[in-house]
Amino acid sequence: MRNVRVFYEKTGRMKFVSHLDMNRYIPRLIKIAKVPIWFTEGFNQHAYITFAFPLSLGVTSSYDVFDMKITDDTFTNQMIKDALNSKAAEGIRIIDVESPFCNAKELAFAKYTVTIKDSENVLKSFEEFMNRPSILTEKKVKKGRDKVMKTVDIAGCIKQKQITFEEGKMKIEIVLPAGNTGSINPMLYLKAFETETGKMPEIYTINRDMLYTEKMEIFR
Amino acid sequence: MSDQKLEQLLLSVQKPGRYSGGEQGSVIKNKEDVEIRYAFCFPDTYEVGMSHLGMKILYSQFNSFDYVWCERVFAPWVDFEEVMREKNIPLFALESHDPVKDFDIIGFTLQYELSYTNLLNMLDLAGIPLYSKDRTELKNLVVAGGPCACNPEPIADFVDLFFLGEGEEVDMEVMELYREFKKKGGTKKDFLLEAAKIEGVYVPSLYDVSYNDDNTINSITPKFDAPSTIRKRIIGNLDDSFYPETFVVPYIEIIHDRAVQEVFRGCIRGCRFCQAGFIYRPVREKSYETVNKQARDLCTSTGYDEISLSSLSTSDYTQLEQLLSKMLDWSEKDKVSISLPSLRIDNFSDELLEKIKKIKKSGLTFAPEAGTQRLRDVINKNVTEEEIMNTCKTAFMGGYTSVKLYFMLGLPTETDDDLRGITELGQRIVDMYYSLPNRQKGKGVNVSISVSTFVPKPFTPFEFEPQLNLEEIERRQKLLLDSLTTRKITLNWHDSKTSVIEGVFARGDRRLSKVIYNAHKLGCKFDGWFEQFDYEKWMKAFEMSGVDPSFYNERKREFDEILPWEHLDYGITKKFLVSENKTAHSEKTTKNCREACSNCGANCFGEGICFEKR
Repeated sequence: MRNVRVFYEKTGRMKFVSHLDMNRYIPRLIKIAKVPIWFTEGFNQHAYITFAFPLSLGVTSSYDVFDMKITDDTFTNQMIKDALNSKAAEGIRIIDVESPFCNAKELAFAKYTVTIKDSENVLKSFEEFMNRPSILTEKKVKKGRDKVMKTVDIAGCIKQKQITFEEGKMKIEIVLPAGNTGSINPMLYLKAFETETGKMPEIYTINRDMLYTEKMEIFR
Repeated sequence: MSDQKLEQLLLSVQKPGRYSGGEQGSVIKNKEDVEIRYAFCFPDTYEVGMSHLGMKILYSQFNSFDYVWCERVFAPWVDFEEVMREKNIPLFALESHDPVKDFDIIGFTLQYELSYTNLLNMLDLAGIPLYSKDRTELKNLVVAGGPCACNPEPIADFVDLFFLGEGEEVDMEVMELYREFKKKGGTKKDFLLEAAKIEGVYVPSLYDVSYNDDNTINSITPKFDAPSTIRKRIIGNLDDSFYPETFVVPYIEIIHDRAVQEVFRGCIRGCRFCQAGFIYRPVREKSYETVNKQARDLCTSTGYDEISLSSLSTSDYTQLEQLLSKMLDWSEKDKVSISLPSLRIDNFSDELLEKIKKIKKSGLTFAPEAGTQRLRDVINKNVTEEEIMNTCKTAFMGGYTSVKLYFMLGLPTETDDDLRGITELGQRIVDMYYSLPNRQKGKGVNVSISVSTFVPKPFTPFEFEPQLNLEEIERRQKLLLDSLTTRKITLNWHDSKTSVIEGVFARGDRRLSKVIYNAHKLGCKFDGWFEQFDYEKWMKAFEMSGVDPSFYNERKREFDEILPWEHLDYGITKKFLVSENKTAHSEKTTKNCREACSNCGANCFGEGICFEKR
């Protein structure tokens, strides 16, 4: 019996598969790949899988993570990787299977690349918006057991930011908080821009590139 | 439209997974390598269509042929339809995202009458002419099959060809013929003439329907060499017939998200209101070894953790005990739970309950259908009060605290006393629960009673009966509600207005095609969905077309009237239906197929239970 951590990509048509759908899909994939996963005990047994960080609908990912327990130690990590890849749907590719290095709680940041395509005016306007020292917006936060809308400043939580232009598209590479301490979704910036200007820039792609710890080391 | 643009638009609507495709098990072929592209259109949402077993079987079967590529198309929900119309995106298939108008054959499955406007809407969204006469080429041939094909007359002007009965063989025969005609450049007209010679194929344009002054049918006359009656097809040996080894597994949540295993076709019971039981006769069972093997293969390839044993009346399956024993050998180990819907209330035993409990504790649902023995005898639902009480007792003693019961209102000869019988029966069940000493402590009981409105259907002994009018339906619903004496009973019912429209189309004729066309033009769609159904628009459509709906649903038919489906043969003879109707009105029952043959006529197929030793 051991814990393993699976690193995978979620691309192409898989972007239309929500996190909840993944919660249903991954156990089925593991089952048809015949990977010996540990099931919870009790009346309603199910495969025990934990995802490090849910991915929003419409976002692709180059580096995503889930953990599971394997009941057969002769079934190696390489075998798990091969088995899953042989049955995975198009758009899911297992990058690696390792024993967990970090504690799940150590996840602190996520890097996104958002590519938007629009008129030069809109792009320039959005670039200015992103460069402001203060960006106020409404965000849903937990208050006790409820969720309430709170005005927050999302400029300060940007850990890193780089904006480039190529072929009429604007590429924003941004590192934002992720995990237990509170995550920021890159869509928040676009929505805040829309609230202020009435215009939602045309999104070309959003990709979650990488996950990091507090010290900006790759989450493993 | 580029895939990139399409993807962005998909992210602006609810549940984009309905339209994205790419699911595990979906079949991708190279369009250059195939000769026929078949668009399998299910006229409802993805979630509803993906739960349908027939589609899964045919999808797999068609794709098993190298020269065919079958793709799936579902009705886009209203939010995406708006986007499609605004951005000029024609209806596309899920696998390739290619427009449906690129396809050779566009096939619909007719599951229920209220899906007809969706059928028209999908053709409209595809950019394909709605009327058969306006489609002049062989390409874009519109075909349809499924249960409503037993009376497809209301949509006969829109569909080129209907498949009657079971599709696994006849569909491929038509496909082969199409392939031949496409290769040699044959015309649509010649193709249809040739196709009409295949047993089970009904080409409506080869029949002229004339009417009397009172709007009843005068005659249905075949043209050219078309046969005067068309007999449905059945699959004789279910063990040898095609069954998929894998299903397409959806990502998004669908209505019935589990593997489905067919156990047998047809039904022995002959309940007089039930169309499915008659049109799928004669009863043919699959051997339990075949069922077990197919079930196991399906679960292994899809990864599903639940499998449903499907049929019209699963507890009537003669090999149920052996099947369950064999399945329990692997299901527990493979962590697959077995679901048994469609259980009869009169053969639900302790043994069966024990087996079910081992597998999964889901709700228990039974269908007594009528509240008094007298009315149950009229409808030939051969279930006594004692059996109902015993079954509920078995369930309660087995630890169940809720049970769901289905009833109908508006059945022939029904009186107010019969209706009160429903709630009184419910009360007796509740009382019985509380009288049991060993029931679950601290937990109350919930008896859920669901009452739908009776719709007389073709090929049943009640095809001659009138349906209640709206006012009377509502009066009876109120009566039921007022007769409730306990909060332990939850009463709910099916919307009466949808039942009325269903009643019109179930026994409709070709004069209704302009009503459906007008309803579509007025914007009617997703009529089976409560929040989308618009009764006012439908009434307007009837008015615009100069058709009185009550002629179809409220009118009693004389036994010698020519009915719109007279030329369609499902084995069941009219003589039998008339005789059963008379027996119903004398409040007498008829034995089931296993007890004694009632000579319904289905033995004309030479298969199944008709020839088994009793």
